Amino acid sequence: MIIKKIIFLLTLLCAVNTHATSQVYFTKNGNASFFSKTMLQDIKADNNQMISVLNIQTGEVQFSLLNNAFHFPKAKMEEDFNENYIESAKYPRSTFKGNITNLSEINFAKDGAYPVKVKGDMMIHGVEKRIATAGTITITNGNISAASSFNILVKDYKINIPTIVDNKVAENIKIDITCNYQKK
Amino acid sequence: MPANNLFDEQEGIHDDLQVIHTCIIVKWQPFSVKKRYTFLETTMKRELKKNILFIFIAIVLFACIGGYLVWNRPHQDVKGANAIETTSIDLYKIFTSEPLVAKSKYLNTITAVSGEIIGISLNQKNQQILLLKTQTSGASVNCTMEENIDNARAGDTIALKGICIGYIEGDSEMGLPGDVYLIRCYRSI
Repeated sequence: MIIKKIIFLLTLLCAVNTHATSQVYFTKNGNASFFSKTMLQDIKADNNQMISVLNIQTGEVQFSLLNNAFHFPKAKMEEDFNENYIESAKYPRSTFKGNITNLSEINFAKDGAYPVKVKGDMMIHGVEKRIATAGTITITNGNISAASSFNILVKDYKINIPTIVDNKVAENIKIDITCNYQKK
Repeated sequence: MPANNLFDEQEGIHDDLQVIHTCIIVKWQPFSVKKRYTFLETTMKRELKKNILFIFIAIVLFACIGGYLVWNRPHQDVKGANAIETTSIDLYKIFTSEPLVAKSKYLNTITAVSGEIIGISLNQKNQQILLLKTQTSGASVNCTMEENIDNARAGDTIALKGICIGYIEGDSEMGLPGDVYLIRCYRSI
């Protein structure tokens, strides 16, 4: 009976302990931008309404954004992007869910810039794809920020570019992500 | 006189034709009717070609001007546009309880939202972010300002106008509720 009680208390203690050290950071205004470069035209679009959650204990990391929030220099580009390419009425969100694979190499208690490796599932245009990418986590006075830059192929996500504008939109799109996290 | 009849039919179409007509009658009298007709036909064809070329150039020109205007069309005017009015509490509630109704009414529409400011910050582009109160703790109507409001303070009630882009779910496992977003916001008068 006493042993049972001790086990119960220990379990409870562990649970409380886990909860106390559970460290979730988030941002609701992260930045995602993409860049398409061709001979004819450079296109850059910005989204400053990305939600991201980072659990520094488990290394889980998530990003989620609304495609219709991308802002382009020209209204026509924005319209084409939403209606013809990303089809934001049909696929309103783009997401990434993954894990930091080298979590042990990051000391969240010490200021510095730490290279990180991330693996996870990227969902764009209704197509999910497993990707691995690299980034940087920077700790400044205890504040966490993250940045990553990677390329995606539009055909991987079944985004059709009509042949008439083929030379205006690049096949390879560069994506930049930056988030300044706050503690939950 | 079949030849004259033929020319009579063409009269008044073009002054040049009149001249050609005279030429043929006076100088090329010995030509057979068939030959005169062929000569006239060639001249008409040349005229027609000229006209087609002119129409073609006009179409190309119009297409270029049209294309230029469409390509350089300015972004939707938010500041001067009429907006659907609601409160931050109601807007959040409808997006979380009846998403389909909310989408058909507010999505990509200029919406004026009034509510209490519960958070002020700057994003990475130095645009002001105003968080308006909802009934869910940790959730807000997240407004990215096109024009920063200098004297905005937490606790103030404010009316803002912007494009409603929808609701992003947070993460239930990590206990983070989502936000409803408004972009390109201005203070609503």
